[in-house]
Order: sequence, then C-alpha cells, then structure tokens
Amino acid sequence: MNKHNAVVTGADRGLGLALAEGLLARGWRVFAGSYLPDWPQLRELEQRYPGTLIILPLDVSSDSSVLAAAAAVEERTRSIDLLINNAGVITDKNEDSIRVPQDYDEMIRLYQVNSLGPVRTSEAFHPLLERGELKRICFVSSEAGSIGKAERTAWFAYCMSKAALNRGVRTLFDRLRPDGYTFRLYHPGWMRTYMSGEKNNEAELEPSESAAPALEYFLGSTLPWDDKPHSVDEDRPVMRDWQGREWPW
Amino acid sequence: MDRTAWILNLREPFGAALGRELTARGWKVVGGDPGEEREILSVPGQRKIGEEGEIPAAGRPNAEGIEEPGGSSGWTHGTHIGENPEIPTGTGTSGLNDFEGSVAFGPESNGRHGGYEQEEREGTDTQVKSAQSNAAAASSSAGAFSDADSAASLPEHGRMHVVPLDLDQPGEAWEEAARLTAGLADRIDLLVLNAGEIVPERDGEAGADSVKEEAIQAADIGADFPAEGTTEERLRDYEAYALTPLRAVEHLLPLMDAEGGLKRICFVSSHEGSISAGHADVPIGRAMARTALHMQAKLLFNDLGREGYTFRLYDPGLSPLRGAMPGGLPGAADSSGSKGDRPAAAAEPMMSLPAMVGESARFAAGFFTNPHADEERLVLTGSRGEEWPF
Repeated sequence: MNKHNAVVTGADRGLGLALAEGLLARGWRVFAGSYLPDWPQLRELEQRYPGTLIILPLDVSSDSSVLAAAAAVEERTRSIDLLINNAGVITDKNEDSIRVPQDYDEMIRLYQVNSLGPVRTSEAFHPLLERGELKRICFVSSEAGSIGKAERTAWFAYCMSKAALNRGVRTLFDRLRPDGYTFRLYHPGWMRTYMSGEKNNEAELEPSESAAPALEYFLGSTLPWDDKPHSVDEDRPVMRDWQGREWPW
Repeated sequence: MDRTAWILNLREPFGAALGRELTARGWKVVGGDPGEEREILSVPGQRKIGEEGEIPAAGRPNAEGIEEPGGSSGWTHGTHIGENPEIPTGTGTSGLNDFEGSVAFGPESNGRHGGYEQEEREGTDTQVKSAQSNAAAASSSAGAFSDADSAASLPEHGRMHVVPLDLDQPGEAWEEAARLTAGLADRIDLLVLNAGEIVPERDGEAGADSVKEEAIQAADIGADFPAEGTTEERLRDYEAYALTPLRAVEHLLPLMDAEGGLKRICFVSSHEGSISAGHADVPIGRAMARTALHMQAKLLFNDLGREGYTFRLYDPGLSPLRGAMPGGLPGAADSSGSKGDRPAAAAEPMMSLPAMVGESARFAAGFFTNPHADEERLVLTGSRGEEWPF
C-alpha cells in the first residue's frame, strides 16, 4: 500500500515533533520542516523511521525557502494528503504595554512566521495537495487569536498575528472548500515547549499530550479511506482546542 | 467647548469628510497625513509628488494617486477649502442634508451650534496658520494663502490642521507629529485611526473604473487559487492597516491623558476583517491586517479601559468591493453617471461614492463623539448602526 504523505512545519521540537512522531506511528510518510538544523531531536526521530521521515530545511517566513521545500517534496512524491502548519514563534516583548515603546520589527517578524507563513506554505504546497486524496490543511493557531475572548492587555505582536492567521484561514477555506479541501484550526493549549527560547516548565501540557488530540482532530474521527461517515462539519470553519471546545473568533 | 480630534490620514476622503463633520460640530481637528510634508517643503509648481508617486513605503497607500488639481496646497486648507468636488460635504440624500452638512457653507450657516462667534473672529488668522502646521513655517508664510480670492469666497473656519507624516521613517515621523500636535492643541480628546485606504482612489472616474476592475479581478481570483498578492504587498497592508494605527496610539497617547479629556480612541476598519462574516473576495493580506487591527483595538480596550478610555470600532461601509449597500455588489463607486455605456445593473447603488463617504462620515461623527449606552463592549459597528461579528 502506498503511504499517505504529510508535511509538518516547525517539526524540530515541541508540538511539531510530537505531531510528526504521531503520524509516523500511524504509518504516514512525513516531510518534516526543520528550521533548527542543530537541534537533535528530529534527527533522532529520523533514525527511528528511516525513509519515512524526510527532513526538509524550511523557514516559513521566507518565500524562497517555502518554494524550495515544496520543490524538494515534489521530487519525492507527486501528491501530499495533509499539510500541518505548525511553525510559530513568540516574542519576549509580550508584556510591553502601549505605555512603553513598541518593537515593530518583532511585530513584523511574528506576522511573517505566524500569519503569512501558513498562508504562504499552503499556497506553495497547493499543487501537491491538489493531487492528494485527503486535501486537508491544518493550522496550529491559538486562543490568543480569539478577539471575542481576548482578555490580555498587551501581547500585541502575538495576538495580532494569530487573529490575522485565523482570518487568513477563513479566506483559504472560502477559496478551497469548493474544491474539496477540508480545514482544521487548532488551539493546542499551554504547552511545555521551547517557543520562547527556553523550555517553559510552568505550562500545563506536554507537547505529546496536545499532539494526540490534535491528530484525532486533524485526521478527523474517521478518514475517507476508512469508509465511514464523517462526524465533523466540514462546511463551517471553526477553531477548536485540545479538548474539542470551539473558540469564538 | 474646546475639543480636539486627531485624525489619521486626514486627506483620505473619509478622513477629510469626518474632519469636516467634526469642525461643523465645533471641534478642532488635527490630522496626520503622509502627503503633507512634501507639500510644505516644496515650492508651488515644483511638487515632487509625481516623481515620488511610486514610493513603496509601507503604510502610505494614500501617497499614490494624489492629484490635487492645480494647487500647491491641499484642500484641507488655503485656497482649496471646500473646493474639491471629490470630497463630499454632505450626505447627498437630499438638498437639505447636503446644505446642512456642507463646510463650503460653513458651520456658522447651519445655525446648530451656538458657541461659534469667538472662533469665527479668530478664524481668519487661524485659517492662514493652519496652512503651515509647523510653527516656524507658519510665521514666515502667514500671508501665503490669504489672497483675496479665498478670503472673499470662503467662510472662515480654520480649524483643521495637517501635520506631516513621513512614513518612510515612522519612528521619527510619529515623534515629530506628536510634537507638532502638542503645539497645536492642549490635548487630544478623540483619536481617529482611519487606517489605510477606505476608498482606494480619489480620482473620480478613473477610480470608479479601477475599483470595478479590482473587483472583477478579485472575483476571478476567488475561483483561481493561489491567491493574489506578494509578500511585499501583504506586509505593506499589515503596516498600513495594523501597525500604523498602533504607532499612532503609542505616540499620541500621552497627549490624551490630560485631565478633562474625552479619552476616546476610534478605529476605522471594515468587516473585511471579520473572520465569521468576511469573504474571500478581498485581498487576503488586507483582510488579515484588518483582523489584526480588531485584535489591537480589543487589547487596547482591555488595557486603557481601566484608565477611563472608551473605544469605537467602525465600519464605514465603503469597502471598494462591496459598496455601502448591504449585500452591495462590486462597482459601488460606479454611479458617477459619467459612463453611459455601462449597463445600469439592478444592484447598482443609489448613491455616488462621495455621497456615501459623506453620509458615513456624518454617522461616524455622531458615533465617535456621543456617549454610548454600553461602553463595556467593543463592537464593530457599521454605518447603519449594525453590529458585525469578529
């Protein structure tokens, strides 16, 4: 049987690594976007899954890097079924209120990675997804992008980038859903990851604890080739968290 | 009453129309505009706008297409007060409304505001000075615009001042804008963040055509993935619609803190940025940037609300692709009547774009300045008072 192919961005560590590992365990072939060539975890995973884990150098904030990664995947396969836009960054300027000077370069950096990155990646991999069986695009967003629920008083760069991402997903949904694409938008919870540079041990979830429900959600309760009815309403774009709760926009 | 409003992009049609509505209600209006500095610095007849028309700087879409007919100064001051036919002065729905809201007739002709006599007397000088917002320039050129022509034919209001914003150097430009504003007004009561382009073309017929073309292109794109727009364009949208307003708040907030101020911040945005109601027929970068602006407004609402600030989030209903009518179709700007060869579709709006701008600005002036029943909630509100979801 031919393996189904997935692309996961930001797979060096944290949630992206756990998602890649979960897919490999389910028999998928995974193209893992790597931004940190010196970080060892993804290489260790590659040794456990030789040939089914393929590491792609990938900086989602760069047009040329994303296009090169798509070209590299196309050399190995003519189609992918699943794209998981996981790569994201945060800033140590989160707590800067409007009363202190804002760092606009950081805002642009976060927007490039968190907001435009997934849009750009989805566009670049569109031809490969078009030939795939599942045509599913997943986005790791955040409750921080919910305007309706926002209670923060700063965090401009991060919250704005995630709200914008959600809007971008909506546009992609409107444009691609008629062609049979399906979408997942996920708030992973507060995880013990290295997103801020150092591992955050105060957070409430291990990445693997969020990756398991994430994969359940991303792959649907059933897959089309399982020949069972779907329980997900594919015609309504929503953001769900690791407990399945829907978040307001 | 001595209230001051500060409007971002005061030369943009909606910003200008709002400025007029506010001056008609007795407000002093200061505004920032990217077009201003070059005009101050250049000699009439030797303006560089044509040469610099393609400046790709982020956050200044208004720089493109500035075509002020035959003058060295803008229509917000000097010889051009009330003379630009592209800038609405009223609602366009009836002669009475047109007359009532028209700054061309002057606020004093409305008979609605009692406290004007004092200001009218000061007006002559102030109008002249407003032509040069920078204090040094003002003293040396105080007579430059007081030719008999404008003095005789136009009312004295002189309550609009434009400060330059060279958004190529945003940090310095905003510091300078804050400094100049402090010289013009004791404080800012009302900050209006009229971000980016509400109406993308200010040039009547060409604008209608290109708006229409843009709409058609966007409709095509909807069916034809991948989407339009380069990264550069998307970043420019983010700067124009999301970062520029934040820069404005950061730098002008100290001027709003003064005792007795209204402390109100108003965001002019669009339901293009609504995730639940927005559609795919707008450029993705602009839609995303507007959503980011809504988040920004919410975060500031959460923070500054604790200090007594109140907020408005407004959709003027002037999206170039949708027009002002609910369910309006592309081509809203197309009712100028000058294109007889175009079939009059049933969905064509009833109003010209300038009339829509005028009406929307009139609603906005009330919405922005009046108390609101529920200041505890931030809601994207349209020009008919309708609520848009985020």
